[in-house]
Amino acid sequence: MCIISLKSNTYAQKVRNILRNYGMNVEIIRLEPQKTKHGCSYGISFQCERLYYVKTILNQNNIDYVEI
Amino acid sequence: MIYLDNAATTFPKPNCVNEAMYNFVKHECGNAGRSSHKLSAISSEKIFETRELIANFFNGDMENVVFTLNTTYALNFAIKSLAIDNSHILLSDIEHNSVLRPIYSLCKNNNCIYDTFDSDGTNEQIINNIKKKIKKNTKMLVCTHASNVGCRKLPIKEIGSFCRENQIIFIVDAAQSAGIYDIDVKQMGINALCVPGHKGLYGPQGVGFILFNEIIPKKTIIEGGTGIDSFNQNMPEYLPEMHEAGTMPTPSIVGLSASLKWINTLTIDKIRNHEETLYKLLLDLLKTNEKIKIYAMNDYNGNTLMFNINNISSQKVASQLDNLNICVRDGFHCSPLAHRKLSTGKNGAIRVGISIFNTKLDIYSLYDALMEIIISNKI
Repeated sequence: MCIISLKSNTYAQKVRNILRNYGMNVEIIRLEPQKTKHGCSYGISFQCERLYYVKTILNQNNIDYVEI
Repeated sequence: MIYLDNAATTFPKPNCVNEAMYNFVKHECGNAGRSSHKLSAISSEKIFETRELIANFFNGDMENVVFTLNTTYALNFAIKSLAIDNSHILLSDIEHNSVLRPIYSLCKNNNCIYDTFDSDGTNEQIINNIKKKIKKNTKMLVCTHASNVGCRKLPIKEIGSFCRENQIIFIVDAAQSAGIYDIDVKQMGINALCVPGHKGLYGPQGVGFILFNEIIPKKTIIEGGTGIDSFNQNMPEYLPEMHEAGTMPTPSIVGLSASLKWINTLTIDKIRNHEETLYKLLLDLLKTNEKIKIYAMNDYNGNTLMFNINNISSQKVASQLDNLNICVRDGFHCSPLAHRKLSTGKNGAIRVGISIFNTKLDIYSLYDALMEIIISNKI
């Protein structure tokens, strides 16, 4: 699985809904603390095969993300 | 009991609000955005859903919805986080203390100055009144959409357009208008719309919000936990988390979500028409009695009406109405500017606030009770 790290839970919910509107099956996850810069963060998990598709959707919707 | 104090808080609430809050508190009430477990996730989803409902209701962006305790907190956050030091702030001459006091406090500490503009006249005259008070360093204009003493509705679309043209931050107090009049933050050029959950939106007490638009505040007012970025000593620099420190009042937010869905089904046109019909009925009845002094502008058709009975203090009348199981509000309604403008004197006035749950029978009963008070006081 791949994970998009996002700046907040609210933003993660927004991104999840956008990706679902494009027919993707994605879930919000709480990131493991050792994988975050300052602790406590949220992300979206998705199938890595859809990486290019996800990046295109995020760019089209002007979504900022921390990293994938 | 006949409840006519709906400008203070609407009562009763729709049943769906009571049920949603009860079910949430009993079965689902985790701390939103704080943990990995199901109840935290459910709470987060409820808050997110409410942000989307609010954004759709006022044509804003979901992430710009900041939850607060009430409108006063919303106005304090908006005014103080957007204010620019050493600037000039303009407000109307009918503002509530929730606008007046934070601006007074701000100007006392930050060397800014404020002035009021005359809210009388046509829309064009009001814009001209504003133009007369504008200075080179006017950076913010704050005004109510509809006065809480029922005397005036301000042309916020025209004021917003003027502010946009002159690069002035425009903050609107929608405490008495949200849920009754259409508000579109983008079309109206509103930079911060401050709204209570518990009045015209028929939600519970304990939740209000700011809907920011086109502008992001640079300062925080309250700092604390946000559930993210925990080792960063600074608050997040993005909305809504920047202004949402600490645990959210999720049960109240859930109640607000239910009430917004209820209003969307009912429509605010239907609510407004019903309330204005009862307002006109009350106005027509009170006009028939020369012992009653009404404080209402000719062009105002709202849901809040203020009056006095000759020579009896508003507190005494409200108390006698309470003895007859009728709830109204007496005094100055935290609006010293509007009361001064209307010359209500030392007694203040009686305020009647009408909701969708009131009936014509309520209005006739109030009028009968007032006649009884006039007779019993030998006026």
